[in-house]
Amino acid sequence: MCTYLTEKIEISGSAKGASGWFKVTDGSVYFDHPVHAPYGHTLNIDFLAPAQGPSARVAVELSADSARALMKAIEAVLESAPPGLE
Amino acid sequence: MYDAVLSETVTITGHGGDAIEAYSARPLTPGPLGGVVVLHHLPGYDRQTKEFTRSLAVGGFNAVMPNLYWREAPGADADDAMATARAQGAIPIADERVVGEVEGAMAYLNGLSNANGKGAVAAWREILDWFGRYLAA
Repeated sequence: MCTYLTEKIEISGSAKGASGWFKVTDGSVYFDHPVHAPYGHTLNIDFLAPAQGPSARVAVELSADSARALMKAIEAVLESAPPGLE
Repeated sequence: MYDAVLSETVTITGHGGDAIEAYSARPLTPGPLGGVVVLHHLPGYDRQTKEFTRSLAVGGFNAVMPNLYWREAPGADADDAMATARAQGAIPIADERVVGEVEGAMAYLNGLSNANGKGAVAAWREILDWFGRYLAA
């Protein structure tokens, strides 16, 4: 089933797409049907720059287990980073 | 039996009188033929849904599939258009807008020289369920 479940966030950073690096300003996180990954549903993240048009997008489609592992890894790295670097 | 089919991108008049993109597939026979409006699935106006639209024409129907993400992302790749629509909060798409696009698509079909004036809507299950709930409300 299509879940339509989407969390939208404002982000600041860069992503590398088909035409090179660009600044990203928006993110979409959703659990829904993938376009490419071989699963019925995946945790999908779009890193977006809407001001540059629809193709300014870096997308990932992850299995639920992969997404949870990614969350733990991100949290672990951020927690272990020396203070004052953010 | 003559079995030629013409499939092409066309512009139709959708909700609010706006011009939107659509994919048309129709038998090149004098008819009279019924028409089918195809509502594409959530991932968008893509290769698979165009193929389905062509298959309806091969089966003897005039078919047209409006690009439901055209307003958010005209000319974009199907997956980028879906992502743009989602980021803009347009998934699910506004119900009244879909009704307007379907009405416009049906008008396009009825305007074809080989149309018999009868029509139906075909959709992927999730879209059909959602559309059906709207129509029943």
